[in-house]
Parts: sequence; C-alpha cells; structure tokens
Amino acid sequence: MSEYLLEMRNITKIFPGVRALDNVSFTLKKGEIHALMGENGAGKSTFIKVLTGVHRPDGGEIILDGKKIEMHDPLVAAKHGIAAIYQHLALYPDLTVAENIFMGHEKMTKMKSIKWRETNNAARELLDSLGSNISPTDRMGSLSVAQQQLVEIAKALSQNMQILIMDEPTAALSRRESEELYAIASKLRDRGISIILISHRFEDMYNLADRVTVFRDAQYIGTWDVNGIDNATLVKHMVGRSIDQFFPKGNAKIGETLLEVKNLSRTGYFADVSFKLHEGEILCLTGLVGAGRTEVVETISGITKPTGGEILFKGKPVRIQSPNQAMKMGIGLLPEDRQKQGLFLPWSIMDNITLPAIDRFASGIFRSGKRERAEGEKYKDALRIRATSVDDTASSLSGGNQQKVVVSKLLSGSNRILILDEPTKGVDVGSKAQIYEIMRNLTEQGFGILMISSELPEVINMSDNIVVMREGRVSTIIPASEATQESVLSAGMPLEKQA
Amino acid sequence: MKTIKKIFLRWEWLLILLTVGVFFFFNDLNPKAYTLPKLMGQTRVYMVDVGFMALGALLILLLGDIDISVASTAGLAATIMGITYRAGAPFWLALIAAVAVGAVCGLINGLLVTGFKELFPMIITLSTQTIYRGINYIILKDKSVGSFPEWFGNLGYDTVRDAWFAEEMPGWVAGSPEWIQWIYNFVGDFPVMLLCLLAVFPFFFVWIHKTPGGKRIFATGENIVTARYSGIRTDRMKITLFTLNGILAAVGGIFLAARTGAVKYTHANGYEMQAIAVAVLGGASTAGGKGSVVGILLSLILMTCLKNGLNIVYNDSFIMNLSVGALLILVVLLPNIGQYISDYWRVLKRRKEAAQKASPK
Amino acid sequence: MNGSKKRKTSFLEMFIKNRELGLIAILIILIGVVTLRTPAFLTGEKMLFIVEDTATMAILAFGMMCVMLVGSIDISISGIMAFSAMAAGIIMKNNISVTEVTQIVDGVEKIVKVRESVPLIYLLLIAMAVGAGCGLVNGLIIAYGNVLPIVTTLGMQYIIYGLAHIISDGQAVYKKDMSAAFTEFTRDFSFLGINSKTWIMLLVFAVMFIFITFFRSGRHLYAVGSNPEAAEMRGINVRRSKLLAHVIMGALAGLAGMMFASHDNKITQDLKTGYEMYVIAACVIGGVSVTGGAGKITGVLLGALTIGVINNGLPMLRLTGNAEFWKKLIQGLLILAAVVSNAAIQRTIQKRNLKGRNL
Repeated sequence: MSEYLLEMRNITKIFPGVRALDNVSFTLKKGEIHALMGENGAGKSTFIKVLTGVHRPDGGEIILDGKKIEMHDPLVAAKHGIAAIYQHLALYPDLTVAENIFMGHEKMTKMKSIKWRETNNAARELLDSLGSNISPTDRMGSLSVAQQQLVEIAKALSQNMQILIMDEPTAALSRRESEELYAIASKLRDRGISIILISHRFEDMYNLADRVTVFRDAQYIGTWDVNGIDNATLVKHMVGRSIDQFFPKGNAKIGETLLEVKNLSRTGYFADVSFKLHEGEILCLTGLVGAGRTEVVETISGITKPTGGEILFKGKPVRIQSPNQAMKMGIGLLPEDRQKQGLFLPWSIMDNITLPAIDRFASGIFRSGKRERAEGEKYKDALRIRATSVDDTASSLSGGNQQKVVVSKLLSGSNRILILDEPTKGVDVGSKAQIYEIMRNLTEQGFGILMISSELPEVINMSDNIVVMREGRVSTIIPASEATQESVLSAGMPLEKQA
Repeated sequence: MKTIKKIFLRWEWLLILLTVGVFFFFNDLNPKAYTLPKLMGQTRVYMVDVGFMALGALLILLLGDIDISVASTAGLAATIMGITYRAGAPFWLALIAAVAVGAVCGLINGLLVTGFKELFPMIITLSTQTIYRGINYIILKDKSVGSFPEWFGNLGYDTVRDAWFAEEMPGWVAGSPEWIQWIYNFVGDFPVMLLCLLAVFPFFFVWIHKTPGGKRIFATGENIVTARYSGIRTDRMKITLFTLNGILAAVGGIFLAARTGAVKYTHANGYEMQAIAVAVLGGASTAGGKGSVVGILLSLILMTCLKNGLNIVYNDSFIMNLSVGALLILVVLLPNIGQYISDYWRVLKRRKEAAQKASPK
Repeated sequence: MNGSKKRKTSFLEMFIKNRELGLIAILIILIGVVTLRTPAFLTGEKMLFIVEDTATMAILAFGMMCVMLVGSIDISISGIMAFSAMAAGIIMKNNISVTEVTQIVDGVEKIVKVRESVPLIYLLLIAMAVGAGCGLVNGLIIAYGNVLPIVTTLGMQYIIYGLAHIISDGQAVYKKDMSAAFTEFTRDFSFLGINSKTWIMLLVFAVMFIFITFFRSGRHLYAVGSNPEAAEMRGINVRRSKLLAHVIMGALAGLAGMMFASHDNKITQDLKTGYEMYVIAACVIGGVSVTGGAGKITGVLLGALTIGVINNGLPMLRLTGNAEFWKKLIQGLLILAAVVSNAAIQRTIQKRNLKGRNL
C-alpha cells in the first residue's frame, strides 16, 4: 500500500489537432485537499475529464488504491467514488433538486421503478448534512449559483465518493459564500474524502489546500507543499517567467476623452455606472464573475439597450442601438466567449478577419478574393497568427491564435475604441504576452482600450485605471499605480446583506 | 494541392455523378421514352414551380431557419391572382397582387421569427401555414378559380419552339452542320417556364456567392451571435429574406397555376417539403450556413431525371417519392459516416505517434 | 448558502409554473364561449365525444412528447401510421374468412355474415411492431448517423409512404376485408358507457405517465434533452435515449394508425397525411419545449384536448354559413396565439424578476 490514494502517471491525451495533455503526473493522498493550478488552457480541465472517465487517455496509467484501473466511462469513475463539480455546472435546470442529485442512481424498487418519496428524503438528508435548507422538490433552475453548487456537492456525496474534484468552485461566489464553501470542504476532508481543487484564486489555495500541483501548456511542472512555496515562485511556475518580464511597460500618452458613460443602468443587471475612457488609455473593468461587467460593455457596444443613463462619444451624447451602429462609430467589441461570439469556427482565418468590414474589399458589387486575402495575410503577419495559411479554419487554431484572429477582426474595421472582454482567457502563455504587446502598441497609436479581466496580475500591470464593480454597481475607481491585488479583490467582494 | 482536393471534394460533383448515373440507367432501360428532349419537357412538371420555392428554401436554410408555410403562401398568392383577375382587374395587376400577397406572408413570418426568438421558426411557420391555407379556404371554399388569359395558359405548356421559332427549320440552320441543328433543336425543346426559372439563377448565384451581402447571409446562418457581434443587422436580414422567400413562393405558385390552369384551395399542397428536400439534397443544411445555388440547380436536375425515369418505369408517384426520400437520407448520411471514419483514423494515427514518442524513453 | 428566500408567487407565476392550470383555464374559456352560443354544447355526451375524438391525436402527442423531450422531432408519423396499419390490414385481408350464420334478430331469423380474421390483439401488436421498426430506423439515422431529425424524418416520410404503397400494391383495404372485431373495436361503448378509444388513450396515458415519472429510462429522456453533455458525463447513453424515444413514437403511431383505420373502416396508403403538424401543435400548446428537456404529459393531454375542443366547437359557433371553411384559419390563429402568448408571459415574468433584483 503506497502513501497515495490516487496516482496518475504519464497521462497523455490527444484531440484531433491538439495535444491537450503531455505526459502529466499527479498524486493524491487520502484526506488531503490538493490544489491544481495553472493558467487557462494549461490542461487542467482535460486532466479532470480524463480522471472522471469522460475522455479516454491516449497514454499513461491511473492507479487507485494501489490497483491499476481502466477509466473509460464516467460510470466507472463513479463506481470508484470519483466525482466532480464542473466549472460550468452540469445540471438539468428543468428538473428538481432531488432528481439532479440522484440522476442515474435513483432509489429503485424491485420493479426497477423510481421511489420518489425515498429519493426526495435521501436528498433532504444529504442537503441537511451540508447544512442547507434547499427543498429537494425545487426546480434546479430557480436556485442561486451557490445553492446549485451545493446540490452538486450533495450529488457527489450521494455516490459514496472518496475523491471530489472541484473546478473553480468560488469563481462566482461572494466572500461569505466562499467561506461557507471552505467550511464544507474542510468538513468533507475530515470525513476522509480527498479533494482536488482547481482555482485561480490564491486565496482559495492558501485557505484550503495542503499541497499544490502546477500544470503549464499541457505539461506537468511540479508539486509542492503549500506552506513551502511563496506566491511569486508559484506564479513564475504557472506563467513560465516572472511577472515583471511578462507585462510590457507602456508609454502611451493619455489624450482626450473618447468615451464617457454617465449613470448607465440596465434593470436587473447594473445601475449607475459611470467612467471615462481616454485616448491611449487602458481602462480595466474588474470584479467578480456576475458583477455586471460583461453586461455593461454589451450595452456600450449596442448588443443590449440601456434602461437609463447616457453614453457620450467624444463629448456628444449618442444612442447606440446595434453593434452595427457601434462599429460605425468606431467601437469594437472582443466578446467574452470567442468560440461562440467571436468566430465562425468552420470558416477560414481570412473569412473571419474580413467579415466585419467586408464591403471595403469589394470591387463594385463583387467581392474581391484577392483583396480579402491581402487583408488576411496582413493581419496574420502583423499579429503573428500561427497557421500554415490564411485558409486554415479558425477551429484548427489554438486558443491564443483564435484570439488573435478576433483581435484582427476588430482592427480590420475602423475602430478607435476597443472593448476587450477577458482577452487572455484560455490563451497560452506565449500568445498572452503577444496580446499584451499588441494592446500596448495600439494605445501608443491613440486607441482607447476598455478591458474586462478577472486575473488580478493582468488587471494591475496592464491598465492605467481600474474600475471595480460589485453587484452591478461601480464600487471604486482606482489608478493602477495605487492598486494592490488585495485592495482590488476586497473592493469587488459583495457586502453581505443581513440574512 | 489542398485547393484541388477541395474542389474535387465538393458536394456538387456527387450530384453531377448521380445525375449522369441516373440518366444513363433509365436511358438504357427505356431508350425511347427517356430521352433528353422528353426530359426537357418534363422539367415543367418537376423543376419549375418547385425550383422557385427551393431557391426560397435555400435562403431560409442558409439562415438556419425553416419555413413550412411556403406552399400555403404559394396557394394563397395564386388564389389572389385568380380572384383579382376574375373581379375584372387587368392580368398584370393580378400578378402584382399575387406577388404582393406572397411578400406580405413572408414579411409576417419574418416579423414573427425575429420578434419571438424564443419560439422556433418551425412552430411559427407551422401555424402561419395553417392560417394562410385557412384564408385561402375561406376565399375559395371548395370551388376553384381559373380561365386565365390564353398566353398565361400557354406559358405552362409552350416550348421555345412554340413560342418564338418559325414552323419550319430556317434554311441557314438546315444547311449547317449537324451539331448546329442539334443545338437548334435542343434550344427549341426548352419549355418557356424553364427559361424563366433559369433566368433567376445567375442573379441568385452572384448575390449569394459573389457579393458581400451573400457572405453576410452565410455568416448569419453559421453563427447568428457572432454575426451580430460582427456588425451584421441580423434581424433586418432575416425579415428581408423571409419576405423574399414569400415572393419566390408566390412566383412558384403562379407558375404552378399556369401549368394546372386553375387554382383550388389545396393549390401547391405538400410543396414545402419538396422544396426543403431539393434544397437539402442540393447541399443546404437545416443547421444553417451551408448551401449553394449551383447545388440547388443540380439537385433540381437530378430530381427531374430521377422522377421522370421512375415515372416511366413504374408510373407511380409513391415509388417516386420513396426513391427521393432514400436518396435524401443516403446523401446526407454518407458524408457523416465518411467523417466519422476519417476522424477515427486521424485519432488512431496520432495515438500511434504518441506511443512511438513515449516508448524510446 | 441557506438564503433560500421565499418570494410571493404571483397569479401570473402560478400559471407559468403550473402550465396545466393555464391550459385548463383556456379550455374552460373555450368551452364557455361555445356554450354561450350553443347551449347544447355543454353536455356530458358532447364532452365525452370530444375526448373520444381527440384520443388518437393524444396518443400520438404522447409519443411526440418523448421525441421532443430528447430534442428531436418526427414528421414521418403519418407515414408510419399508414404503413403499419396497411401491414396489419394486409395480414387481416389475407386471413379473412366470411361465414354466414343464422341469427335471430328481433324475433326474425336472418342470415348474417360474420367476418373473422387474425385476432385483433395480434393485429394491433403487428402494427405497433411495424411502427416501432420505422421509429427504430429514424432513431438509428438520427442518433448514430448524426443526421438532423427534420431531414431524416422528412426523407423517411417519403420512404415509408412508398413502402405502404408497395406492400399494398396500391390497393386500399376496405371494410369487406376487415374482421368484425377490427371494425368494431373503436366503436365499443361497453365499459361504463365510455368509448374504447378513450379507454385506450387513458391506458396509454397511464403507461406513459408511469414510464416517464418512475422509470430511469423515462427520466433520462428529460436529462438528455435538458443538458446532453451533463447526461453524457453522468454515464447516460444519450444515443440510446434518443433511439428509445423514436421507437416509442413509432409504436404509438402504429397503434394510432390502427385506430384511425378502424374508425374510417378503410386503410388507404395516404392515411392522415399532414397530421403530424396537429400533433406537434398539441405538444407545443401543452408546454413541450422544442429544444427538449421540458414538458409534462398532463400538459400534452390538455394541449390535445384544446385542439379537440377547437375542432368540435367551431361548427357550433355558427360564425358563418359554413364553419368548415373557417376552421383552418381559426385553428392556425389559436395555435399561434397560444405559443406567442406563452412567450409574452415568460417575458413579463422575466422582466419583473429583473426589476426585483436589488443592485
């Protein structure tokens, strides 16, 4: 019997087009909380899917309790007591809480029919043991994110698990909700359950974890005791170089006001949002996921309509009714979800880049393939998009290169204001640095950039001013030079309402 | 190399290959009844009216939507044409009225589809189908309307020879080499209706495949969110295309009336599925963003060859439809299976590579 | 985490949460309107007749619900009905034996022809098996061939009608070739004075209700449609669920085909063309989501009844000389009104919820 409950050795996973895991290893002791860290796209999610049997590894072995196991099916993982709570909660919004907990292993009669009363009671007990009063017969879709997460934990508990994987569990939680989650996690550890915790928040790791493992670019970097490693070293391992090398310094001149929003509101999403964006400035909008950041920029770029307040473009009040109109004014948006909102995945790089300003490349009424190609080539070279030709499909590119294509789309138009919603999410380290460089170059040319970001190092090191949002309102605006990670984080944490 | 491969892997080749195969199969089976000139005559039945609707279906499928109400629109438009003319209006006015009704029907669909995005175009057009057919029923009851001007009736039957050529072959043709005579006869066999249909194809081809506007249609169908984020006015586009689809349906309904000579309230019943089938066979996907105008034309030709052949051999519309259905499914299924196999091989190959890479260590 | 606030549920929300309540209200209003115009409408007999008349549509709608739950659709059901009824009909025709029996009717001796054939239950099972086979093919192409449901079933519609034609050689099956048991089974009022079609429908309803509420594979239909990826991760076989839904649809279409055939005393190869649209409409009115994952069987039953009341109530409204001509238009308008109003209510509720969020 080894000291480890779970050992994963030399795991490799290959998808058509990309090597998602390259010889990674991982160990987990019984009753420990083990943090798994790494940038977006480092392979954490794939690793979890291999461990839970969703993906079948192309190489390597999984040893559980000293026995080698074949994990080829989610059911096998469940049988071995491995359960996961995913980043995008895997739930059925139209079904009840109890059903969500017991889907796939409901309490059955001898006739193989479901015993609803017992199922509901069992759900009740599980939720009680977690100290929650959610009703088992509520519709899942009507619960808050924190409650849904709790249901997911209950779901995992219902399967007699010994290993629980939590993927970004606190990303959308308030501070108090996070603390409650920490308490539950500790309680589970004390019951002898091992937890693999994936998180971007160092706070989560320091609060909970015993050991930490870092992945970078689909590779295993190392494992350390949490107490034996300092923050800077850890970050260096994660991004591959130290922070001050990583973020290019800007020397753009801050010019006139390009865009001003005054008391902008949209019922139910955000209220009284005011800030100014200047030429040559990078203004960062930060705060927790769900604080209304994306909704604000969607309103500015004409995707949704505001219910109050005004937008001033170069000092003049404007009403932006559609993205089309926003683009005509020179406001371009890089959306949060580049695959679903930014790209036509089956299309070529060239077609993607030229679409927003396609009329410009036409001669007469006809499209000109030659000019479109020239435009595509221009940006492929300028932004160093790594592809064999501009005819490659967007889906064949890595996350970072996909993001560069979306940036090209913005630049190919005549935009002066760029709104970048999480521009480096899911982007590899190399491309990330390039994107930062591009941003710096653009500001030097007089572009105004409004960036949404959750990654605090990025927020502090890239922006000139920081707007922190909290529950739909602007909590504070601070110059980046005065900001620290702690001050930004605490400004974004929701004030607890009296329960 | 890659582009050459791409050109040869195009859907259109499959259709051409099938068409040639079908033609020679039936030609061999029935050399007398199944000839090119006779086939040409049959295009009136199998190609023209459904062709207009299939072009409309292509537009809607490109958007990723579906329109079940086209046949009802066609029927209603033809009815309006009939009663306007019967009421004493000049025939040109009746035609305009018919097209206008088609446009209005399409516009209503477009407004509903864009106004209620949470509802599905299929459900919306399902109900407008019943509504349009219902209005038609109220207008016509169980009667029919007909006795159109003579030229309109002729439109349904005339060939180019009937309409414009002299009785006798002109001397300069008769004296020319045989191949010129063959061309002369070939052109002469063209039904006038078919010419009308073919006349709109170049316009659609240029618009859909060669202009920025066409590219925007593909973009909208491929991913409507990205399209909107990229500055395309997707709502306006949808409304426009649905309206155009209504107009095309009306034109199809008018040509059908020219062929049948009278309009009943069941006019063009079932054409919506035929139009969609032609468009899908022509390479359009109901998921949106795929399809080609050339594909529609080839698919129409293939359908005509197949249906006419089957009709001669079996003289039976059910067998005809059965073959069309089987063709439809096979043609859509085969590439999927091909894709599945090629994906499987690719992953297998990479796994082998990975194993080789891992073993020396 | 334990801040589950109980908000006051408004009248509007109650209706949305319990769509069935809203449907019942619509039904009552519809019946009320017709009754105002024609008091004779509101009789037990008439109501029972409406249920009887809607029974077959409801059975089809139960099947369509399964298919729509997994996010699929089947527009080949009228073909399946024709084909399976025809298959059973031909077996019946080939085994028919007519015997002349002397019977005493009203005290007078009469010679009565008694037509006998394969037992009815076998015929029904054959039709359902044939239907299930068609559904299986649909399901295989959709789930394992990755062809879009609407394309698949559109093609299959043509194919199945063609098959019905081939096996029948273009001949319809008439009453003379039908066994008495078959022609009478939908006209039987012997049990509690309620028509057998209603009983069959209630039986199917009960079976489907139990299947979909108490059985794993039934619940999985919801899971698959609600969140296919999550279902896959929890080890639910998504493809098999889709296949199952289509097989159920096919089998029920086989049964419905036999009921129509018996009711019409005739089996033709174009039995009930275009009927799929009514069935889909019944499901949508009944609250089944076209994207899958949501919908209740009671709602579907009420949806079918709503269409039944419209069909039967319209002539009673005596709007114009001949209501028959108006029927189609009003049907269409009502279906559109039902779906659009539902969307509108959802929107109002959403707006109110947004306003309720304090920022």
